[in-house]
Amino acid sequence: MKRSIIAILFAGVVFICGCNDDYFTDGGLPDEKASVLNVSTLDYLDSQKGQFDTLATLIKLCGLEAEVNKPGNTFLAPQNYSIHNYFKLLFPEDNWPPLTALTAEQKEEIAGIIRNYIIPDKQVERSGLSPAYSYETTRGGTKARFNLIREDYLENVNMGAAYLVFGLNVGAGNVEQYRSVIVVTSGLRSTNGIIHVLDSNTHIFGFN
Amino acid sequence: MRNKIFITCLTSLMFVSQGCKDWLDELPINTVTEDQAWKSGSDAEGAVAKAFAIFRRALAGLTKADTPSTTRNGAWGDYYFWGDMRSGDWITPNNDGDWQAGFENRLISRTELEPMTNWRLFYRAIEQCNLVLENVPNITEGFTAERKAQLLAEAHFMRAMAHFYAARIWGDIPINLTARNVQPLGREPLADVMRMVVAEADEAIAVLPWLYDGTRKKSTSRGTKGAALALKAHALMWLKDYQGASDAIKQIIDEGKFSLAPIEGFRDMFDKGETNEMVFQMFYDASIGEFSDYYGHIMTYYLTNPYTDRGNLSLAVPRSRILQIYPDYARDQSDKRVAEFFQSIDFSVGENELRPILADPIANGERLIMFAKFRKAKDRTYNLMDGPVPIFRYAELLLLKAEADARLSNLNESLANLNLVRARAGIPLFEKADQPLLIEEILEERRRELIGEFQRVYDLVRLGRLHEFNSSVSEKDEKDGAGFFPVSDEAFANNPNMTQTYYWQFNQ
Amino acid sequence: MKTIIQRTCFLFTVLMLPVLVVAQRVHTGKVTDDSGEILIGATIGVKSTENFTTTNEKGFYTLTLKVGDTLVCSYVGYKTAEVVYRQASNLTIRLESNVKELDDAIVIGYGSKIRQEVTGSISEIKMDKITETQVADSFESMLQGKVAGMNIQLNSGEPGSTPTIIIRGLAAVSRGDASSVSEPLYVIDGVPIISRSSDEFNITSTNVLADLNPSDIDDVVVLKDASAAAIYGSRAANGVILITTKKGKRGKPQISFNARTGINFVPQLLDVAGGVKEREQVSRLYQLYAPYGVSMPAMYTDITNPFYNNSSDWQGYLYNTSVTQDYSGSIRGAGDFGQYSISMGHMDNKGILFNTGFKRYSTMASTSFNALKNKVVINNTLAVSRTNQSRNVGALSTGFSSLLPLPDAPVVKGAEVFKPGKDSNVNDRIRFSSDATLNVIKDLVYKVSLSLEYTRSMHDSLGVSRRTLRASNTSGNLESRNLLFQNTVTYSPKFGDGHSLSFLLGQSAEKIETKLTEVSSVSAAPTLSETVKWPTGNSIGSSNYTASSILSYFSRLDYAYQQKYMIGGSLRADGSSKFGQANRWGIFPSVSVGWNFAKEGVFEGMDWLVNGKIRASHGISGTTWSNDYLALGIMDGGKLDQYNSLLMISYGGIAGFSPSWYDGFKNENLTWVKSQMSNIGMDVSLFRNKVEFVFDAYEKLTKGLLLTTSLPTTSGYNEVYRNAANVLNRGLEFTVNTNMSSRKQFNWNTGLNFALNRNRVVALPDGNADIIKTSTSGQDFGSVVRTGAPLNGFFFYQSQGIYQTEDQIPVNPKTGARLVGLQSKKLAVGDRNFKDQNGDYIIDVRDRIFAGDPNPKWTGGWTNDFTYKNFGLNVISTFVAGRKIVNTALLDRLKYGKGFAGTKSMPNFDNYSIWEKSGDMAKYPTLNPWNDASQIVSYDSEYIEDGSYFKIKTATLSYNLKPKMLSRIGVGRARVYCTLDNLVTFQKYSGPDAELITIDGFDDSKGYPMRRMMLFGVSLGL
Repeated sequence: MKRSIIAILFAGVVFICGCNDDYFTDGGLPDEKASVLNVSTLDYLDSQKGQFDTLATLIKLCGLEAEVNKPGNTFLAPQNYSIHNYFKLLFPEDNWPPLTALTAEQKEEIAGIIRNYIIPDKQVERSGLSPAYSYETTRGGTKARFNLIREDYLENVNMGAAYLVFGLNVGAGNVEQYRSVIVVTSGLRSTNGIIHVLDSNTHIFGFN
Repeated sequence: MRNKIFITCLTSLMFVSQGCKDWLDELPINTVTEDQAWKSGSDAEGAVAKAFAIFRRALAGLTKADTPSTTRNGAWGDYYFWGDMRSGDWITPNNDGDWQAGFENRLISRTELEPMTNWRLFYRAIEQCNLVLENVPNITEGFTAERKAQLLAEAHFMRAMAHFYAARIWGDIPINLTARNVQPLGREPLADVMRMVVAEADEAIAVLPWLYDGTRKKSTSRGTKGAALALKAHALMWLKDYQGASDAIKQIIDEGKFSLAPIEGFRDMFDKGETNEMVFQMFYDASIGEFSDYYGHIMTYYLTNPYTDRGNLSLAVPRSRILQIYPDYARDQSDKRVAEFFQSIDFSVGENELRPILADPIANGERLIMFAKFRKAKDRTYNLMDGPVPIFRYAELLLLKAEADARLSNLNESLANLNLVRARAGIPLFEKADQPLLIEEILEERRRELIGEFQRVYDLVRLGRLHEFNSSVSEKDEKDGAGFFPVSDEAFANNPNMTQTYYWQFNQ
Repeated sequence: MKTIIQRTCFLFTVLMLPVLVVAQRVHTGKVTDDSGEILIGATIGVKSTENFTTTNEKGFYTLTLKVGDTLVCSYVGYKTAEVVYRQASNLTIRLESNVKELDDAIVIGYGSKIRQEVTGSISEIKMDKITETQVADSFESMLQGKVAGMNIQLNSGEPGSTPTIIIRGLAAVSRGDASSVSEPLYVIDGVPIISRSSDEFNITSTNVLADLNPSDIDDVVVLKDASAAAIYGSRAANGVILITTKKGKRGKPQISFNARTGINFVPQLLDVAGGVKEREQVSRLYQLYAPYGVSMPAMYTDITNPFYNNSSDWQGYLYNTSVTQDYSGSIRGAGDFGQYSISMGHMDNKGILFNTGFKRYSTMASTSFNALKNKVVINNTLAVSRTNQSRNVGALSTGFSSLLPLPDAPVVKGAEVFKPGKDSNVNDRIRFSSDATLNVIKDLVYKVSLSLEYTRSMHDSLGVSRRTLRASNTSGNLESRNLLFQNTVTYSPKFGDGHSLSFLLGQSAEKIETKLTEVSSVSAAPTLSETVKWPTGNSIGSSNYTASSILSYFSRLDYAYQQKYMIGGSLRADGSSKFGQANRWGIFPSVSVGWNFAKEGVFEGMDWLVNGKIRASHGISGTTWSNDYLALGIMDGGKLDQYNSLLMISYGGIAGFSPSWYDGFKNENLTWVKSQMSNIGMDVSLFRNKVEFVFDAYEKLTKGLLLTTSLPTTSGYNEVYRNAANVLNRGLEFTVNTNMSSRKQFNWNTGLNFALNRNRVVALPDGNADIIKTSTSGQDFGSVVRTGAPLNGFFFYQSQGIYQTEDQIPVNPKTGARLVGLQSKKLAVGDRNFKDQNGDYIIDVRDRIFAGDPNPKWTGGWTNDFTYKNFGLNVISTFVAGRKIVNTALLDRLKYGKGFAGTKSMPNFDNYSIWEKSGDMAKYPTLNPWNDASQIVSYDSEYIEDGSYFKIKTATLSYNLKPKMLSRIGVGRARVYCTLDNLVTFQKYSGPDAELITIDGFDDSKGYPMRRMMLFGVSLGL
């Protein structure tokens, strides 16, 4: 009698542990410190060749290193593809000159655009934002606004992820007209401020 | 006692076996067999309506239900991809690889684009018309002789229309005018196809009425004299018989049944199809269940929230190109069509709210302007798209006649019609009576009026000028047939006589 | 419905309990066999009275007797003895062992036959012991591994799903995506029943046979060859499964009750890369292949976004252990008046995936009355059952990205995993059959039977989208009625010394009607009502009806001389409404001969040869197909598209008919599919039935299988149907049963059976032209029907590894053009290198080679049954060998299109050798999601695996409680048992379970793995 009970127990144990959960390789969570860069904003742009090398060269050409590295600011970084589309717009026949050969007023216009991507002495962070608009003024003096948009989670309305949206006023005179872009990587902390990377699909350098 | 029971059993056996003759005759009650299908007038009405329904699905596109090997289970609205995709005016803001391959005329190697190269549904519509023309003549009761003649004429019209539309897409196509024709057919030259279309159209024009009773939309979504004349005119333009085309359209103008709708009437025309300007359109109406949901209508791909539940734009006309196509709007925002055909949405609002529409139609940036010629009511149903799909429109026929007259060098006639359309759009009239300049301006006016209305590529291919507007197609390519779509692999199955267009034999 | 059944049965039991009249003296006695061994549980009692009892574990019985009573004592396997009681004190009754145990009759079509005289290939399975200790949704899974040549495979772990049963090889050619299966005919107590609903009418995907309670089944007989099955001629080509339900036996009413609960454990699940591993894999693919300007979705780039800071194991959350319960009770009894049998059963099988399960409520009452002094026997059977398969609204995916938080994570508190709504699938079946058997004169029996079967399936689904508040509910109601009217006359005289003749003449008329009504409404405003409300939103209804009828005349003649020489023949004519007028009738003859050589003189002395028989048979049987009106050329009114819109039905509000493009046009000469089958067999039993050996060799040629040939696209039609294909199945079947019983109350009997089957297509239309399962435009199944090759044979492209460098891509010397890849793709480094067989520098269907046969070569099972004193250990295992399969479940997870990121879970790439840079010797080519055509295709010879497996299906340990203890609480016998189901599978296959492979060799388990179950139960008999 004893032997049979032991037999049942043994079979049961083999049976249950037969379905361990080695099927799920848990890669763990990304570590928080990944968003802390320990370099200045411009050095970070230099380090990310694939995404920002055109932007970094334009900042140096327009002499805005100090502006970008000013402590306590927020920098909205457009990616290379956005700048590529900008030049395709200016020179439709793909014959745009090398960056170094830009004329003075072209450089001046680009500098103006870059200044509109800097929010001086204000670190705009995700925690401070909500779906309602909050307004700032850019280094270039134009009005800008930030807000959050939420997605759905498994068809549960508005319970999904939230993304930052950065809008710039492009309206002439007192008529306000905002063009907006979604932030694809938010909250990178450089030694001197916050960096938000902008979507490159539909956003063109200078919001046009 | 026993034999009493035995006798009862034997008699019951006899009784049962006697009744067995009709036991095996089972006829379906939910559908009809071929013999029962052509009995009364209502059968004929239903069969002709079915031919139009099949043609409507042919335009929307092939799905897995039609050919198991096709990759997609929902149609996309292929009339757009045949008629507008390669015109060079469109981009894909979310960098969709398939659309990009389509813009660059790489139509064979993309598995997602394969269904567009398959003409099976056009030939189903043609087969349905062949069956009508074979069986309806010997139906006698259930409808008047005059109605019977009209139905046969509509069958001729739809058979010609199906051949015409397929010929515009693939160039040389097989002609199938007999029912149950399972012979492997080869491809006939485009000119022969167009001559057959003109002959069939003439046969229909003689009998078809100008309008039917009922709403204008229902009437112009069936075969009418106007539609047949427009079909004839278009076919003659492909045959370069400009006088014939001009005369055909002249009959339509003289009849006075059609007129240019005012700009304020554009919403009724492009959203509901109720207008005096439509000559022939495909019938859609959500209230009686004939709607496309997420798949099946092109509106899914260029409309976004608040019209559909898509969050971003898959297809759009870049802002710089809009200003180039509509120079009057660029100069002084005088062209009233831009506000009707384009809209800017405030993308800073979340995808799940009803996004507001900005006042200025081209307020947004280069890649964020929504093409909104066909819209639908902004309501929470999001899908249920029932916008009309126009085939011929009075404004378009006026411009076609203008081109024909310009080529026949009676320029005043041509200028008159061109300026009718320009006046409606609120842009200054065109005065230069110089033939090449006028023809160029008419082509540009057709581009402005018919943008996103599945005509542009056919105009360019007819004139052999697609290579001027689409950088991936060279002039030599276009001569080798790059303007036409490749024939699908399935057309080669069980059909040794099938041949591929010269250009597509070597290119992907 | 359920409560009414319960109440009527309770009332019935109270009435039926016999009251013993105690008048005479109480008397005890013993029952033993001829060697003095006591017989436990023998039934003994006074003839033609209620006064019956059974012997206890010492073999004693107590009865009240008076002088002159005749005692009747019977025990299975022994001759029934009758003794008149004089006055001896303890009356020991000695029962002669029934050596001719083979004499008890075996049920065959329309009657039964003494086992000695059986000349067809028939296998019988006693279900009593199996159903007592096992639980399953449908009885078919309990037959696994029991019958040589019958391969049963469960295709999905979902409770209530339909298993695939193939007897003696596949004989069905299919062109479309779904591969049709050659299903056997199911007959319950002589009445063919509805066993499958055709796809067009299948609205609840519940297994139609799952409503038959396995505990009601007494035994199952499988008729495999033509002569045995010929009597069911027109539907018997793929074998016939005769099910006999339990009937009452003489003596005390047998009341039995069986209760068991089982725990379902989650087996091995799909491998998933979670959290940072998924992020790395996605960014690796983007980094390697993404075209300029295409960036990863924001959920991967926005690493600080708290919402996606997860590594969720969705399968762990959605699959968890569940409980299965099964209760069945029955009261059965018999006497001179006839017999009665009432049984009830309830099963509640919860699936291991959230919210899936299967419930069954079944009751069955069958009575038979002997009237007119046993001249007329009237049997009535009424069976009512309901199955309820619960599923999730819209298929619940278990493959979400691991970055999404689980529903119980705080960040999404209050979120629901399922769409609000309901998806209920309820199937009812009422089966009523009654027959009267009239013994007209000696040996002449006339039997008339009428049976009506009514099944109803109801599918109601309501799905509400929270965002658009759109509620779409569909309500479908499928009813099918099967009316059968049969008359048979049997004359079986015995004359001379040992001559026995049996002549059967019969007629049967059958009509099967199926009616489907579907109503659906899509309403903008949330209706939240579960029924379809008319005029809100657009509500569309459609109904569909189909009916077919069969008329048959059949006859059978069997002659046996001294049970030594047997010869039998049958002839049957069947007409079906499915065919055109011209060829509606099919003639199905069969002949069989048998010789019991063991009875010959020369073997007289050898007592080790108990029985030996050689038998041979040849015959024709037929099958039809599910589409009832194919020959009439039906027109198509169009049906609702996937969004319930009428685009395919009407234009401008006017609806009409068009030809049904798939069935082609009218085809008068469609007729029966006929199978010619010949079978040679030998049954030998040796050493006083300790060893039994059965061998069969068969050849089945199925002629005129329904097949379509595709028509040119310019015709508008897709296909036209024709009786066109012939398939040949050849095979051998071995069965070895041994029962070793030693003195010390320990016996061990085994049942080993294994069968070899090879099938081959012998003829095809259009001069044996190849038929590609779908058209050549690339996305096809990879199977080609080719003469000389097996059915569903794999015709794949021959893989030669991966292009490591540009110059490895062959260039056509004449034109200088490079080799054009599959689907005319421009080949690049990293793509699959397929061999260009015909050297035309284009990879297309002409470059396919025969690469493997998914039909199993060897199938079989091995059952071991050990009993020692009151303990019993039963181990059942099944095996399949010589089969090639493809792990398409894994391939589908590796096919990445441009929108792949974040939409589904990713396998862990470390487990697979995937090509990334040139020089990698990898099994899988580039996973480039932006490739023109995905390089991961299922018809690639690289992915063919060996599909053989050996599976220990169930192991049951049972213990019979000692009757002494039980009699105090009035219980006759009791057995406690523990069963482990789907214990372990030994396989070389890379996927979870090699059994879940469909007949065309692809893994189609849709991610629902087969659970493991541990079952505890107790079975009582009063």
